[in-house]
Formats: sequence, C-alpha cells, structure tokens
Amino acid sequence: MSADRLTQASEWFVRLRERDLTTEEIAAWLRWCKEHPDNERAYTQVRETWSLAGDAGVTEWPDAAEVRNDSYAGEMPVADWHRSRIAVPGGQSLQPARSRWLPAMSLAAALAVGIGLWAFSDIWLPAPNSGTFSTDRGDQRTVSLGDGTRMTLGGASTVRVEFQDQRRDVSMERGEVFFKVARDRARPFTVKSRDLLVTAVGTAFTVRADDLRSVVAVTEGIVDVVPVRETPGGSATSLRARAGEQVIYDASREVSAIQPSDDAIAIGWQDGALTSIDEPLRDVVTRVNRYAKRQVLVAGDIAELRFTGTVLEEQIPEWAAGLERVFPVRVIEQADGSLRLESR
Amino acid sequence: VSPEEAPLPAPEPAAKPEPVVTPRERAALVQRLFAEHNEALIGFLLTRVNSEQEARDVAQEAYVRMLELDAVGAVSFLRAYLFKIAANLATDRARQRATHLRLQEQYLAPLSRQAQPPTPERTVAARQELELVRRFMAELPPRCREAFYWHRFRDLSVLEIAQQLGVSDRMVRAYLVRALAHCSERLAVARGAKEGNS
Repeated sequence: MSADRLTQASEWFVRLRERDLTTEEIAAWLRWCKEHPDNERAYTQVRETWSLAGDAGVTEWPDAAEVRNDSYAGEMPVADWHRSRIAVPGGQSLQPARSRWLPAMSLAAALAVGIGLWAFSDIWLPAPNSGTFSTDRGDQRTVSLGDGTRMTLGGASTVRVEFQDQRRDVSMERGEVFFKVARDRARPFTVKSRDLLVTAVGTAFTVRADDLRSVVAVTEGIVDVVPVRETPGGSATSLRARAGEQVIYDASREVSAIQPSDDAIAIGWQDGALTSIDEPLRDVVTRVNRYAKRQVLVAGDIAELRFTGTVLEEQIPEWAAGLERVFPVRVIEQADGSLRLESR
Repeated sequence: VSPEEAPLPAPEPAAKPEPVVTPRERAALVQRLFAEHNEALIGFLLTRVNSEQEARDVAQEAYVRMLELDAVGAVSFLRAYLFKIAANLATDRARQRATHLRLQEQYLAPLSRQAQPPTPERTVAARQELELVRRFMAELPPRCREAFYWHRFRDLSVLEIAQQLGVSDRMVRAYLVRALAHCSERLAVARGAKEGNS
C-alpha cells in the first residue's frame, strides 16, 4: 500500500466526517474508490485505523509547552518530520515498530530490522546544499537542507541556496521565509534580500521582503542585520536583534528600527494568520496577496494608512470588508473578482 | 444551532425528475441501490458511527426512508440522497451518544471509570494491535496529536479544534490527515511483518 494512497484515503476520511459534506463530494469519493482496487483497500485500512484508535484510547495528552513549541504544520508526513528532527540536537528518531509478539532471534527479528530500515530509509537521500526553491501564490512549502537547516516558504516566495565550505549563502528575491538554522560555527549562515543582509549562527527567524519594506523577526537566538545599500558617507550600521525582536527596514527612507516582536508575528503566517503591527496598508496587502485567492488592490492615496491587526488567510474578503468600518475606505469588487480599496 | 451543527440539507430533486413510479418500481430501485452501494454506504457510515452493527442499523433505516420517499428522480440522485439521509441519521445518533456520554460522565463517573472487562473476542493479537496504535498515536507531533485526540476522543469538529488551537481549519485538516495516514502506514507495515512471521 503506497503512502500516497493512504494519505488520499485519509483526506477522504476526514472530509467524509464533516457536516457540510456535499452530495458531489460523496459521488467523487465513490468514483475514487472504484478507480483502483488499492484505493478501496487504502480507505478500508484508514477506517480500521480510526476504529482501532478509538478502542486504543489516549495514553497521554501532550503538555501545553510541547504544543506551544511545536512548529509542525502538517507540511510533510509524520515519518519525514521525525527524520528531519534527527539533524536537530535533542531530536529523536522514530523507533521501529518492533512488536512484542515477535520472538527475538528469529526471522521475525530480521523483519523488525526491516521495519527499522523503512523508518529511516529516506535519511540516506542527500538533502540539497544548493538550488532554487519557490512557491506559488497561496502555497507553503518546507525544505530541509544539507546542513540540517529547515526553511518554510510562504506564498509567492523564491529562495536561492548556495552552500560552500566556508559559508552558507541564501538569497531571497521576494516573499516570506522562516529559517530554522542548524548550528555550525565554522560556516556562517547569511540571508541576503534585496535590502538586507542577515547573519545568523544557529537560530530561527523569518525574513519578509516586500517592495518598500523588509522585516526580520527572530524567534530564537540572535541575528545581525545590515542594509545591503551602504548609507551615504559611511559604513552600513549593523543592528542586532534577539529572540522576540524584529528589525524593520523602510526602503523608501533607508532607515532600520528594532521593535518588539512575538511568535504570532514571526511564524503565525505558517498557520494562515498574518499579523501586522502599525504597518502601511500597502505592505499588508502585498503580503495578503501572497495567500489570497482574490487579489486585493490599494489606491495610492490610502496606501500609507497604518494597519494593526491579524488577517486570517481564509477570511481575506471579510477582512477587506471590515476595513470599511475602521478606515475611510470602500471596497469595490472588480470584474475579474479582485477587490479594490479606494478612499471614500 | 451553529452552522456546523445544522443537519445536511436534503438535496434538491434532480433537474429531470422521472415520472412518478409505483411502489413496486420504487422498491426495485432501492434494491438496486442496496446491491450496488451497500458496502460503500457502510464504509461511509463508519466514519460517523462506532461499530459495524451501528452502521448497518443506520443503513437499514436509510433504506426504509428511501422506500417512503415520494419524489423520485434519476438513480444518481437517489444514490446521493441515500448517502445524505444516512449521514443525517448517523449524525443524530452521534449527538445522542454525546449527550449520553456527557450525562454518564457527570453522574456516573465513578462507574464509567472502572476498567471494562476483557471480552473473549479480544485476542492477544488484537490487544497487541491496540498497543501498537497507541504507540503510533504517541509518535505524532504534539499539536497534530492533540488535534487528533480531540477529534477522535472528544468529538470536536474541525472548526472547534481550529478555535482551540488558534490555527486555520485547513491546518487542522492537514493534522488529522497526517495523523491517520501515519498510523495507517505504520500499522500496515507492522501487519506485513507479522504475516511474514506466521
């Protein structure tokens, strides 16, 4: 049974349980079951798992701190998640399901080792040390790199990776990317966006590069941030941001500032919650459009209005409508379905 | 009543309803639905009820409702309608069960906490499988595990879990799918090894 098929079957299972299931979806599910005998088998397998899980019951609920610190966003199969953590200090690998019913020292023991290999099989595939990674609008993608660093790309983002013996260079054209950097003092890790150069040693942070503004929000460790463009008549000033802080760079005025930040700002977007604090509407919208199905446009004269709040990826039209109540703007629906914000 | 809780609306009759049929013809149609789709219907119902027996009971009741149905359309419409009726019946049951459980927990907690007596059909192998599934669930990342536990053991819907965890409903679906796929895959591999042994 392929893992893909079991994932598809699980998708169907979760959907079939929801109350707003439509008759079209039921019909599509039936078609899917008939498409291939293995589809039906996979579905039966998932159904059995569900039923066994109910009988098995809960041994231990995860504790609150564990849940708070967990950054797994369902972007990869659980087995891959375990593998990716082997590279992280303190990460634990998945124990093979060596069943107690198998007597040791038998053929069964050999098979149990087989299960172990299954659990580890992908580790031997090399993770990339170079390459270009990008996402489409509305997408999210997590990539594990050769040094154990993990990056999560938000919508409409592009990153280029080039690791060398002495250094780990990443450049970023546009978008929003979270880096969980593996510690390696011998090889500094730098991220270069159009406006900023960010240097980190074993830390976690998000870089967001918009047209006129860049943000580096730190969730762990320390990073140094330098504007790429030299300030006139002097060397560029370096800003040091610690966990819970962010550096904001305003490209139109070429100034940087440090502000308090938090996880909601730095990594909330991975869960579809786009939080802004005192940010120009123009930048808020640029970011929203990375995830929106219907694009949002802002008229020039209101682009500088400052917005503070959280936009949920799933409720972007509602958010736009809500702006009418707090700002002197109105929302106009365009023929192509996009939403235009204009002054009232 | 929240939108999530609202029962499924009955589908509109298909665009081209067939002429009114006699009770005999209707019975033939229902028999045909049973023959072609009963297995799928049971499989579907098992997403919402707890046992095969319960699924069969609900299916039975759904067929009876179909026999009583006045409007008759194309077979494809009837099939969809059968699944809808069955889904609603299963939801009603689940709700009754939830109320039942709540009352039990509230007033009969000491009784319900007593260990359930082992049933004879619970063979050693079956118990070991439960142990394995328990372990596979424990392997899930914390949030994913919490979401799955809430869904499986507290009957929380996707939207309710999204509120609890403060994430999008899409994220919750992803957690649930990953959890199910993971446990299923691990179980399939473990079973494969066991078959190899015997």
